[in-house]
Order: sequence, then C-alpha cells, then structure tokens
Amino acid sequence: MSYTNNINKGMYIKFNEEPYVVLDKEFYSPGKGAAFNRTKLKSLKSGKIINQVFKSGEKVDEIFVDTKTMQFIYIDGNKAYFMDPQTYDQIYISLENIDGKGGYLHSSARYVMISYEGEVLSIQLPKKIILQVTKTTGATKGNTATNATKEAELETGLKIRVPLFIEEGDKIEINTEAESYVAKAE
Amino acid sequence: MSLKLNNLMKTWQKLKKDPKLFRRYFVKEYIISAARKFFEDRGYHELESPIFAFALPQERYLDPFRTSIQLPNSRKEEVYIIPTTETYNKKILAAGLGEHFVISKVARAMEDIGPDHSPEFTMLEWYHLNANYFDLMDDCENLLISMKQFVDEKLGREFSLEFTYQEHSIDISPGWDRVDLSLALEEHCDIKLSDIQDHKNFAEIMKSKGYNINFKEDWQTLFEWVFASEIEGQFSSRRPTFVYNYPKQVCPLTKLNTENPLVCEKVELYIAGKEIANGYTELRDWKEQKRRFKEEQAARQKLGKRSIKFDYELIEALRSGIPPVAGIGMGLDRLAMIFTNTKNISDVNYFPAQEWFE
Repeated sequence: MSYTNNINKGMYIKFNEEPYVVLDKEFYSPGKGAAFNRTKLKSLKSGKIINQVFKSGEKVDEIFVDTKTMQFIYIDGNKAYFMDPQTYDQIYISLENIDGKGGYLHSSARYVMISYEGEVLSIQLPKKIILQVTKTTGATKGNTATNATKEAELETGLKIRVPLFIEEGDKIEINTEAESYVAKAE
Repeated sequence: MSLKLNNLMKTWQKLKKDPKLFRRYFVKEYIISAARKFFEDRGYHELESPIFAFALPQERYLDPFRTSIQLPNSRKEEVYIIPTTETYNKKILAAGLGEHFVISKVARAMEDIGPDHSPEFTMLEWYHLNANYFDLMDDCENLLISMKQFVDEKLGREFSLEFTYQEHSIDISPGWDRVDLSLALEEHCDIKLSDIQDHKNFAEIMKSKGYNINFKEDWQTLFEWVFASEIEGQFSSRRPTFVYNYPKQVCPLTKLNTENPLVCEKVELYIAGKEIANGYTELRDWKEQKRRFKEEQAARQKLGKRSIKFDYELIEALRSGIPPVAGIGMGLDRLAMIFTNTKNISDVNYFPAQEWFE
C-alpha cells in the first residue's frame, strides 16, 4: 500500500483490479478546498490512457512488475516475437499493445518486457532507436529554410519527417516518445 | 564553484544566459499595469493590504502560514500571512471606501507544489458596488480584453482577441461560456442537487459511481472530487468558461441565491483548464455570517485542522453595514502563464518556490 500523495511518474499501481503505469501526476487543490492528485494512467493490459483524480491521502496498491531485456526477432501477422538473449525463450506480443505498432521494432535495439504475475503485459521501447532510410525524395532545390522537412520511409515501414539533407541509405536516430527525428547517426 | 547543469540553473542564471526569457516577466508586468489602469479608469481606489492578519474568516480547509509578533507588553501573538485580502476588503467597505481593488501577494500552506500551485502568488481582488456575480462575469471579460490590448500594444503586436495556449487557440471575444453548475451536475454526472443534500446519500451515490469512498469524506470533499473528475474536463478549451451557482455548502462567505436556496451566488472562471478567478455576491447578513463561521470552525475541529483565530472584527464590520457588493479574486500568475504560453507557475516568477531547494 502507498498513499496517493506519494504516487510518482513511472510507478506501477493496481487500480480497479488492473495494472497501470503512472504517466503523469499533478498536485491540485481547488481554491481553499481539499487536496487532490490528478493522474494520467496507462493500462498495462489494454494500453488505454485514463485520467484519474485521487483524493490526497487515499490509499493505492503499488505493484511490482517484472522486467526483462529482450531482443526483437520478427513479426508474423499481428504478432511480434521477442527472444530472451540468456535463455533463448521466445514470447510474442500482439502488435496492438506496442506503441508505434511495428515501426520501432528492430533486431539491433533492446526492449524491456514488462510482466505481472506471470503474464506478459507490454514491451517498453528504447527511448532512441537507429533506423535506416529506405525511401525519400531528393532535397528540393532553392528551398533553403533551415527547418524545412520532407517525408522518409524507414526500413521498418515507419514514415517520419526528416531534414532535407537526409538521403536514402542514411541511418538516423529517432526519439520513440516524441516520434520524431533527432539526428543523423554516424 | 562551477555552475550546475542547465536544468538545475536558477531562474536568474537562466536569464543571464538567455535575456530573451525576460519577455515573459515583462508580460506579467504589463498585465499588472493594465489591471491598475482598468480599475483607475473606472474610479476604483487601490487598497494597500497588510501582509499579516491577526484573525481570519473560518474556512474548513484553509491552511494559512503562521508566525508570531511580539507586542509592547511583552505578549506574543500568533498572526497569519494573508491567504486572501478579503477580511481587509470587507472592513474598508464598512468604513466607506467604496469600489476598490487590491494587488497583493498572498500565501497558502499546501501539502505540495504543482504546475498551477505555488505557496505564494499574486492576487488581484476587486469589489464592485451594487453588483452581483453576473456583473463580475462582465468585469472579467472587459478586464481581460483590455489586458490583452495593453500587452499587444506594449509588444508592438496587432491587437487580437486570440491567444495561443499550448495546443489550443483561445478566443476571448465577449460572450464567454456560462455553465450553471447545478445543471451541469445533472447533465454530466446524473446528480440532482436535491438528492445529495443528505451527506450519506451523496457518499452512496459516489460509491455506486465507482469512487473509492470510505465514508469519512466530508460533503465538500465529495463535491470537489466529482467536480474535478467529471465536470472540469467538459469545459471548452477554445473559450473561457464561467461556472456559477455552486452548491451552498462550498463557500461560507457567499450570498445564497433567492430563487434556488440550494445554490450560492459564486462564480469561478476557467481558462485552458485552470481556475483563474473566484468571486461571489457577498454575504452581508452578519448573523448568518457568524453562524457559518461557527459551522466552519466546528468542521475544522472535526477534520483535526489546527484552529484559526476567529475574525470577530469582520462580523462587527458587517454588523455596522456594508453596501451591496460583489467581490472577486483573480490569480495573476496563472493568467500570466496563459498570456506567455508557459506551462508552469514557476515560469512566470523570478524566484519560484520550486527551485529554492533544488
């Protein structure tokens, strides 16, 4: 048991009998009234995000999830398969439960698998991932605006806006949270 | 000693590095200048409020900062840092100052700091004679429009009635949304005010809605909870919203509505999900005020709240007579956040509480 005042970003809690991760927490007190904590929770089962207001001092169940680093192997239909690099055990997760579907899955990156009471719930993406550009147009001549971008398709099928100087075959760094281009990778 | 990493830099250090950041503080200055001009043009006096008070209106959840003052006869007296200037506004109304405004720092001891909550903040309060809470709504619209005009002029921009705040565009042209809370409760929460007058019944209804009720919550907490969870999110992000006709239980200083005695004549202004102002048609009946303060005092005791000295002088001021008046407090820090498109109250204060202990 923990108190809602102690809820923090990244904490795992059980709420309405379901495991959630706390995405955001804000202290809030209306006028000269009682104190509350406004939270944004993400269901580890459905991926659904809800807004929940907790009364300050209310008790919540903090839960302890198991995490394991996994390697992505392949996608088959609607399932993404991962392997435990230590035991070579394979598991799959429905693409629906993975942020960005398959767009951020690559064998060179490492993913954290989250499970609770033996049940695999979700896969956490790495914050940054390096992917190769497979398709993009050449830079438009005469367009010298420094913040101009164009669309590029990456090896995973993901489409993203990149600066004009990026060419096919380049490897680029992507921020998976912001879903945006960060830099050209060396 | 070397400077710490960028994210641990104090505001003054950030300003030194990037003077462009001064602009948002200048905007706050302009808002304050505009408010002063607005009320002076209407013939309002400016009240200079003390920052200490020897007694305060009794309100059940109020947590004032406390300190003590040494008196000449070697007595020590507990005093409070004002959480609002209200006690002084009412006394000066009794004295006969008439319409006036005050711009002052106020402070409230809270259990946490948040993006919209700082232990001290700048409050603008004004008292409009022979007016009610609807007149305050008109005042707010006119005030914000003239603030926007003043700021645009100062920044050399074309005057417009549009704000960009985070991902929203806010339109402040007159005729803001007005939400009767007693009706919103029915519409969004399926709760009738008459059904929740009984405290236990209210708790049962909340429980059946799935709230984690332990039956120790008082009526006010149940109300704030359902308001924060089910109503506040319904307000338009495009338009400022006035919420009015609050349940009579939530504000001990407000006049009851004569047509619907279950509600009081209180109004709150919300912009971009933030509570910006809170005002009401003032209760002038000294006997009723005394009765409500006694009720709040008893509620504080029940909640285990430390006692606050009873403001008998305020009752005395009401007994001597104050004119019909509506008064409102507006948080200028939150307003400055909207004017400067910033996310945190610490972004519009040079020395925010958040960074004192970093």
